[in-house]
Amino acid sequence: MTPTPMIELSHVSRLFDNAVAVDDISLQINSGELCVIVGTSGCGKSTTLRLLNKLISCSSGNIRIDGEDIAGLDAKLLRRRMGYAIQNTGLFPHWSVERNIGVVPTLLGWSPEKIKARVHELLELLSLPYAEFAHKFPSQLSGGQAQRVGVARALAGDPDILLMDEPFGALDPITRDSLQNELLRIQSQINKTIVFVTHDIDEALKLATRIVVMDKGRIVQHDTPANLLDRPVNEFVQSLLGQNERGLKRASLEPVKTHMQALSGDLPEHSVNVDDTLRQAMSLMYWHRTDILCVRDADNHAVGLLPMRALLDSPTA
Amino acid sequence: MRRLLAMLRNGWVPLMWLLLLLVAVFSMDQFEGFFRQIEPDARAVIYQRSSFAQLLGKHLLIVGAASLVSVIVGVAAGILATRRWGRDFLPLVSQVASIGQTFPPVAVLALAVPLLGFGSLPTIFALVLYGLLPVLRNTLAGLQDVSPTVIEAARGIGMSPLQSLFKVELPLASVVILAGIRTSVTVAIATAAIGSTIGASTLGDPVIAGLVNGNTAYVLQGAILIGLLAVLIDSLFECVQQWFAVRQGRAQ
Repeated sequence: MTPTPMIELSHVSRLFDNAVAVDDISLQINSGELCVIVGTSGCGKSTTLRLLNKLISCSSGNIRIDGEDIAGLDAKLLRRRMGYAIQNTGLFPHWSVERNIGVVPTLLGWSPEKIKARVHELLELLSLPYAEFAHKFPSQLSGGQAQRVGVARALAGDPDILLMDEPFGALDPITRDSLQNELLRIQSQINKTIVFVTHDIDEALKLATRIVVMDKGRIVQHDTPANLLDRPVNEFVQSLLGQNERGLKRASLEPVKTHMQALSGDLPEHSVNVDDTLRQAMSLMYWHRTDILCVRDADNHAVGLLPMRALLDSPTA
Repeated sequence: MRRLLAMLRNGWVPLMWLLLLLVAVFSMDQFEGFFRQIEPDARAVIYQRSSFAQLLGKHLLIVGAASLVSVIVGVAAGILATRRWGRDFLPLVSQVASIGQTFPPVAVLALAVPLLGFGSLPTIFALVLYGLLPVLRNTLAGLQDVSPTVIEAARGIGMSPLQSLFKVELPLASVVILAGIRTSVTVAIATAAIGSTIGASTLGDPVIAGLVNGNTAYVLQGAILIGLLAVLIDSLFECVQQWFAVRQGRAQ
């Protein structure tokens, strides 16, 4: 079965006072994908995202959402069908968390009971207990909490598509990491089509099902994280990936379980979790000065061995 | 509940000024002895030509009418000049309002009389010109102060420009706009008294009469009433501003 393209850009360009911001882009994003657009500042990635919900109009070309050309759609109705989360949250400071999250359902004309139930559900989904957070104002939240509320607001109208413009860009690394994990967990539950813009290649590699690399308004490469690392099309992509770190980045995309070998003989002293990545396994080997690790599952049962040379094998299915 | 209590607590201040004002309006003659000491030789020491209650009512009417126009015009012009299609008018609008402020009210009165005749109308005209700037300036400042991220978010989630204005921008600017209205109204209360020089009936009447007849007691009575009224209205605004701030989660 060929996946249906949820978002389809064909030959889209956007000029600002004769400067080309987006240059003849064609792109298909399938339903349920988490597509990350990555590039340096000024490469046109945010502009591309804002073209999708008509915050900016195309100078030429056309964009189809779910098969419909958006040129003929009312901008505000289109936006209510798409979640939109941005850096620094854009939460309304004069409204409580509950009202902030409920704003799109209110615009959509939902009943108050349904909105309340939805807010409740989303706060729980984002690990913010309703009783504690619903009546707080944005100024009373930490950066990470505010960004969670921003994501909840984007999800509130139950949109098929979620647009995220560097949503975690202003957070400290630890909070950012936990929100990235949160996003992956939520995505595994709700399975939306997500378009995510970032300048952080590690964030892109971690989150994306497919990555779009942009430079000077053009798409340089559009591929899965693994393919991007294995076969970067040019020096720009290589430098974006970080020349010397490529091996480690690639290793962080491979889970231990695809490289482990059957148990035999004595169990090694040090262990790695079966769901960890090869990168973490390598780190443990280096730290413990050992060339073999025991692979354990979540219940701490030994399920296999991971010798150092197995890292070099191609993965088994 | 805590908010209600806080409001009641703050509400005591205007209530106290209101009581003082009412006492001054209705029982000025109780203080005849005091005023007699100031003007021992005058024929009468309590202003009688018209009751203080009547003067207060007319004063309030003039200030109210002028402030209403100032607020409507000032806020509307501020909104228009901060819309995307109105940005070109921004410098013009701020300049016009500044010019209104540089004219002394007496000069406006003098110029308005030949056009509008004597009485309340030229007074209201002068007060509007004078009260426009604080409202307009604060409306502009308040609206321009709203974070672009928030406005972007309002558009991005699908609010229409009007929804963004009324649900997001104006509420966020409201505290600053209110501060402008407060300045405008308070100044108007004091300035309206000058209207008495061109035949408007205001709390300035005893002041003018006192100045003309050399009766300091009259001047004092007018001044006390104008002062109490200004302080009362100002403290009322203080309460409303507090209430807005609390409602928006900005203060405790």
